[in-house]
Amino acid sequence: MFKALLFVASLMLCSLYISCDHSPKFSEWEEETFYVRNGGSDMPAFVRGNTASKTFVVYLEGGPGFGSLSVEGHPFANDLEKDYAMIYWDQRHTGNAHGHFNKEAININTLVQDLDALVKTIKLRYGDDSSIFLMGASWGGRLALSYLVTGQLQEDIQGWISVAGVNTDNDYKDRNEWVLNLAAEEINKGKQLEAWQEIVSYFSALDTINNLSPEERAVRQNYISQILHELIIDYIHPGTLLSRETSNAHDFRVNGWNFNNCPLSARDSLQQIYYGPEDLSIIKSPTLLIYGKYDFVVPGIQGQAIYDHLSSDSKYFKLYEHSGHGPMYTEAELFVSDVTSFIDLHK
Amino acid sequence: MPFLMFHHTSHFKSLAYIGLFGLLFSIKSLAQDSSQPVKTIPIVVSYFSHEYIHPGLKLGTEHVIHQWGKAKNSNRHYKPNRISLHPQLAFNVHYENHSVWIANLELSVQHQLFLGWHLAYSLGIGNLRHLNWGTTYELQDDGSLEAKRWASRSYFLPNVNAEIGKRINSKCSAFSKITAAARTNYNTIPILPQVYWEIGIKIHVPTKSKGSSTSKPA
Repeated sequence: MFKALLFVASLMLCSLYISCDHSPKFSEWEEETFYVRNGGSDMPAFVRGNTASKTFVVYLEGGPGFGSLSVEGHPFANDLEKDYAMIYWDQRHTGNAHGHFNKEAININTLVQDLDALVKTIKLRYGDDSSIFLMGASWGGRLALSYLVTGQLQEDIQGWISVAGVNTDNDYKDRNEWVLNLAAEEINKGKQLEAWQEIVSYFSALDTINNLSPEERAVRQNYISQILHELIIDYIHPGTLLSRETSNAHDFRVNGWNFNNCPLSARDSLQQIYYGPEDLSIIKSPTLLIYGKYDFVVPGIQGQAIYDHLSSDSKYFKLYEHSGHGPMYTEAELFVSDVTSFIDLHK
Repeated sequence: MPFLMFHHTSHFKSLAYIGLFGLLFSIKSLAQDSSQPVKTIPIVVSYFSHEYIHPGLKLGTEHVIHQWGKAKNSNRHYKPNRISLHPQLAFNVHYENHSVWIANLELSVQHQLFLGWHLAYSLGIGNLRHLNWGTTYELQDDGSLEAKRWASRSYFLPNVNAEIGKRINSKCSAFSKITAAARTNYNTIPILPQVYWEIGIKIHVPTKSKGSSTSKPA
């Protein structure tokens, strides 16, 4: 009996060993994983798609804290994986990243160093002739900005795509301005005047300079999630409106149930980062900025401000007419078309 | 990637099949009861999953520290309640993500119910070794990268367990067990909750010497 048990255990171990082939593979469809270790954190990079293209799109998740695999399986990701290799990377303390470090290690310098290590790892693993593009969503856009304004790092990548990427020194001011501009547009059309005028009177009266109290935030959130939602629902394609769509293709085999979120205190400090015109002018990399017209989390006004100050010779700002904070979900075909054109031009 | 799509996971499937066949084989070989008292050693083998989904295997044994209560049936070696120590070695696999190895020691109290059913509760302390899937590239102080295979980190894993089981015969019992564990010092948080579920058998494997028995079948 002992021998039988040992035999079964050995078979399982052999199977486990064989399943963990470590060498990089190049084909039109690959599914593999490698890790980047830096500063007490082991951060997984899940590679999916066409590695034979030698073009890698590094997806930088929003939050931070959702885990990059939350977008895997969405139509836009599936389509991009046909032409390029998507790399879903879990930043430290998010998704499946593990290790041990102090909260102080969750700062922008360390995160940029982590991302730099990932980019260099891709070059080491898949070859120096690999083309690398960063795709940052929401917070991920801000992380990409931080990477690009640091030293000469931008020379290692072929371009970056910001999807509703954050960059502001006053979120509420930007958001309120965006809502008021939208309200003015709708009032000019003569649609639902009473409701839009209520929106105008509320948002005009908001103190946009000082921080809002928790109670004021709750009232404001109610205006956005209830009243504004009803007014613009017909303009948005199914999918997301004010927040991300929950993935219905979640791969539990890989991701499981995930409780690994970036601590709120660290997240708050990361959200204070802002790059002004001087910083933005450092960026020469090809840039594609995509925002949703009905995004009241990161309004397009922020993307427009980034666009205005970039030094890049090849920069594009797209405002999707039927999207909120997740344009890649709501207008997936247009998104894939824009991204593919951009990458093919610069890879 | 749709949920539970396995076409890229032949090794993952074979792992589960091997474990299942191993369990069935072990049960079959012990299906016949025997009243001959022989010296045995208890071996516990189980399918050991993390969050019900990620498959694995656990092997362990049992050392009875104390047992009490009146023997029932015709089994003169059987006593209904016991306190035992359980050294265990387990692993499970998160496909394309990581695998874990756990060395664990449990202290359990088992109560007999009726018709051969039992309940057991235990406290355990374990060491969890988290092995990264694929190659790990470590950034060095000079900015270079060092590629490492089988890179891993260890975590302390205290756990509590509840088990229900039934005696099949004097050599064999089956059980199902749920474990709530805390992976400590995970990133910046002191405790990351973990849930494991297992289903398996405890078999009393005869050793070479016969005559006297030290076995305490479940």
